Amino acid sequence: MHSVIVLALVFPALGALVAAWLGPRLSHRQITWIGVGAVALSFLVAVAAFVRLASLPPAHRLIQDTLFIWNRAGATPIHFSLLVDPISILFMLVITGVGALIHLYSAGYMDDDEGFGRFFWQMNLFIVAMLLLVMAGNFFFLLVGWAGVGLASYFLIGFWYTRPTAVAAAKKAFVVNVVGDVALTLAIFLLFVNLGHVSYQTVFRQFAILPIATRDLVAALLFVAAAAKSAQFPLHIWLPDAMEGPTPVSALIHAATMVTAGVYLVARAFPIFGLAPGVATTIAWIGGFTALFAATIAIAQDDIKRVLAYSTVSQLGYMFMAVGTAAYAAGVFHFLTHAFFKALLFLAAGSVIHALSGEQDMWKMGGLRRAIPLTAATFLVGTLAISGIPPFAGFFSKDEILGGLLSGGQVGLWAIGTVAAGLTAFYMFRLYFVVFGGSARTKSHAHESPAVMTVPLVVLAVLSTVGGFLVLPGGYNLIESWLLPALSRFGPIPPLPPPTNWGAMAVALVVALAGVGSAWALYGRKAPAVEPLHGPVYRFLKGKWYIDELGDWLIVRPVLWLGSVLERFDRKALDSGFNQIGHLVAGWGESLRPTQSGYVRRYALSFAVGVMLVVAFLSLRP
Amino acid sequence: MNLPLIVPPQVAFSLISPDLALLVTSVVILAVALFLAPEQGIRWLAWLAAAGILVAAGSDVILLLGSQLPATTFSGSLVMDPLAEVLDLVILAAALLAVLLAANRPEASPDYLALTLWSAIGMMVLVSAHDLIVLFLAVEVLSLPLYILCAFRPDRPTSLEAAVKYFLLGAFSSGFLLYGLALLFGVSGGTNLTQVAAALATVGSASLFGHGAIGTALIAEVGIGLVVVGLGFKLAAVPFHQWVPDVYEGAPTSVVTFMSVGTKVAAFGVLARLVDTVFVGSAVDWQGLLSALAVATILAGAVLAIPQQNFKRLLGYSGILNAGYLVAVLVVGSQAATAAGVYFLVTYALMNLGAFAVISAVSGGEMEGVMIRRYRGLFYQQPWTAVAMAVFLLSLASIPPLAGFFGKLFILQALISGHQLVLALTVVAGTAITLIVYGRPLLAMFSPPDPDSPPLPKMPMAVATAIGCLAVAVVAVGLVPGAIVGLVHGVSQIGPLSGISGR
Repeated sequence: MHSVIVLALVFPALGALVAAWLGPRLSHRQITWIGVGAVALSFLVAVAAFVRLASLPPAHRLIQDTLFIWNRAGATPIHFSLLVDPISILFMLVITGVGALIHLYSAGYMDDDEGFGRFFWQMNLFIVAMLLLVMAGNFFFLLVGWAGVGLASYFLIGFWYTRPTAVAAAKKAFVVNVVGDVALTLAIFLLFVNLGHVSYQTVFRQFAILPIATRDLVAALLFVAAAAKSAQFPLHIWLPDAMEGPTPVSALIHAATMVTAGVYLVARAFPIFGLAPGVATTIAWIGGFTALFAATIAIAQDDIKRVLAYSTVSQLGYMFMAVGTAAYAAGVFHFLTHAFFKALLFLAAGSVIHALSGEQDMWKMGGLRRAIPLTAATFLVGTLAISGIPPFAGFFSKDEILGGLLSGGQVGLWAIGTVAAGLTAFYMFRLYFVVFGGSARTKSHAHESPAVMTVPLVVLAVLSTVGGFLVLPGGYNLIESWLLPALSRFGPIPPLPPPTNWGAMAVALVVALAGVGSAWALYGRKAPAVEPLHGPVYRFLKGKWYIDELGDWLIVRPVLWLGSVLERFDRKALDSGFNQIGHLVAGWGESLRPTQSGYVRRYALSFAVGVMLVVAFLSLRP
Repeated sequence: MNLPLIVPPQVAFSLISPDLALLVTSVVILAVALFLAPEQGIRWLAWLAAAGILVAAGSDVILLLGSQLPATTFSGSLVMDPLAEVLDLVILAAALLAVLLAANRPEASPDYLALTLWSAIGMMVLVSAHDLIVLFLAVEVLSLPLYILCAFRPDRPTSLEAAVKYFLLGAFSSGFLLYGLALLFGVSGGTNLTQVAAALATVGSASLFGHGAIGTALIAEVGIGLVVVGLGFKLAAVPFHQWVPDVYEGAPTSVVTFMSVGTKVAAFGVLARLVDTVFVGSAVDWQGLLSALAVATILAGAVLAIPQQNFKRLLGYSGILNAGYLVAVLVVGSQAATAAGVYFLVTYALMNLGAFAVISAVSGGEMEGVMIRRYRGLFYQQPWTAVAMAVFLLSLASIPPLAGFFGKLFILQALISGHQLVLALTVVAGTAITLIVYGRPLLAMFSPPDPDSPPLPKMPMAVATAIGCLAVAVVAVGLVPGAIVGLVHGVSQIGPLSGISGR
């Protein structure tokens, strides 16, 4: 198995290179084969690695492969090493598996776009970076992948670079992500300075010897990085805007994979957070607040993709609640099911948008159940899954988190999560009823998408339906038995999650049904032509709690003001000063030019003077 | 009457096989040329020269990988160690590129090829020199062919001017070098570096205005000073640099490509050897001298590069600047510092050879072609050439992750761990200024093209391949700096050669 796992990176890297290099000369069909094939091959490698891991005894499930020594830093060689263990293999399977489906879907969705080749090489580039992120064997190459996915995300959000809104959204995403990148870099510096290593195993083994302040600082920095990448409050602001990118991008990067990198980081670095309990608690509460906060905003959004974006932020909050309270298996489980149903929802939404020639306002849709039945059915599956209706996948994973919280004594977090679950069911069914129920609000000639798009929808719908059975309440828990032996290699085993909490499950189900019922009452039964809600609370939610405006007032405007003050200072004082220096240096250059007269006799003279100076320097020195 | 018996030195030919390969090739080229009509078959001869260089490089690599090193030969007057062999490889690379570049040029002729090979032999002997006389001979062997090579475009007055200037000033500096070597011989009574080092170690320091025995000490000081002057001229250290821009501008580009790297490598090699074997044991303030030279060289090189409009002159000043870095790192006087210098030289050679190769290809032998304004819009006419040039320039400007960044980084590390903070700051300042220097041609290349600029000459396949390989190497060395570090760590095993049996 050694050195074979690197193929998982090589295939999409080759795909990206070929598509970028030859893209303009290839037909769409050829690019599709290359782009989808590369990710599919990568998926096969991941499957092979999974089979290999599963065949090993639980305590030895680890494939580590050092490809070369990248550099020596101080006394430490930094290896380009890959590490595949039960955590990373789950992420790899999702990245490549769901990734391959989304690539396939894109072949239909992007077929009219003249940037077809560009789209595929950038998507393949993303897959490479994301795989590197989860396969890296040390923090250094984690950072490389981390920055790489940020770059790919920036490219793809700004894919339609002639639209000012897309460019602005790409910039916003990049800036917020860089905040996280800087935090991650600082955390790695701190680890390296104090421990002299960046490899996971060494860092985790030695982390306990650090003073408490350093441990907390490292954990806090890692969390800032995770929060920026995974759009946790208040660094969530970039994700809704990121919907400016093509819908498959939203599905792959901004729902299924990249935004879960923060969850991966917290789960991967769990020994660090285990030794910084204060930070871990903060993570859980930020996650809980984000889950509720984003759910309230999602209620009042009209853009089909924005509803899904806020729902992603909210669901990521659930995952942070889980990993923040050391329920890593539950967090990873929810990542898994969320990847299925959220990718499904986005792709189905994309199918709707495709059918309506780019329309994204849900109040201009309606009655699509009959026009595009397959899309409607799969969207309904996704909606049921995210709303936590059994037996769909979201029910099991969300219950795993909520039940764990209640049994663990985190009543506050449990209450927040449960309320957010009710809101989730409400806004998702609001979306479903308005888009697919009732009758058409505007004239349209909606048509079902081609098979290349609907096949991925069906596959994801099946996964969203059965994916939850990896964990059967009261019965087995495959995720946990898969992950926990792997976790115990790196540090003390986190506390075993409590047995299924039937009470929490019952409450969650009732709340979810209540949410569905309210949505039916407001939007399903009467099928209103316009939004029936109004009032100050609604406006507040529709305004997204005015977080953007608040950030504008608190950060952007002061910074701009400071910038304009500094600019004036700069222009008046510094700039002229630096210009003076620049002119001075250039002036030296000019004024020294006459020394370069071109006359050999002058050169010889200055040479001789130099010789005298040298001799004098050595012999006259006291 | 008893004539003193002359015992021929024992020679291990395998140790000088690279030099022999070049020598044989040059003779074969001249012999074959007798049977060829002029203008005919020159490309074949160029390929022959290239093959000879590759053979030399191959035997060099065999020596490096084998267990013979370090060893001395010619009665201890030549030393073959990893330092010498690695620097030999860089010299050979420069010679190879010069031959490839010249193949399609007016300057190409059998004489040109032979002179280039002879100069390369001089350079290779110089980095192995372990004897004052061999040192001087090697300097002359490398210089004389270069003087002639500079004049290889007799149709151009600037080419002749460059040759004459270089020759006059070179002769001038050789005088100082020889005088310095003679003084060192006078102090030590021997010409072998081991002898010189042993003698200098017993000489105290002296000042004309201080205490101590004036006499031997003063002779040692002046001797070391003049040797540094002579080698500083070859290295292009300020204030012995003024020939550089004029010669770079006037001489054929292929020659400049060769000498800009080869001469620097050879001079650095011999200076490093002198520092490591002779200077460190003496009481002379060689560190102060080299520091002063380094600071002057770095600042003058950087500042004077700014107003240049001619790309070759610009790279001439850039060469002066980089010579300053090399002098600076020698001040530390440790083997790690020498290794850093060698690493820097390897990276410098890659990017400098690449930049000159692009200039040679773009100019097509025209004087106007080497002006920076000619590079406006290069990206839109020959995108790959422009990208390669951008790689070279960014690397020269020490932008990570390219090779030049790590070269500079290791120099800074060596300076800081050697407590040479002033030098470290000077290196940083020089690097900062060079951003302006290399930024201008970069900007020009990616600006919209001038509509009425003449079309660019077509690039020969061999040159394009060489440029591509160099650009890839600059990127690869930057991405995997560890690859060369290992090689260079072997180089740091130089030092006093006591205990090595002569062959």
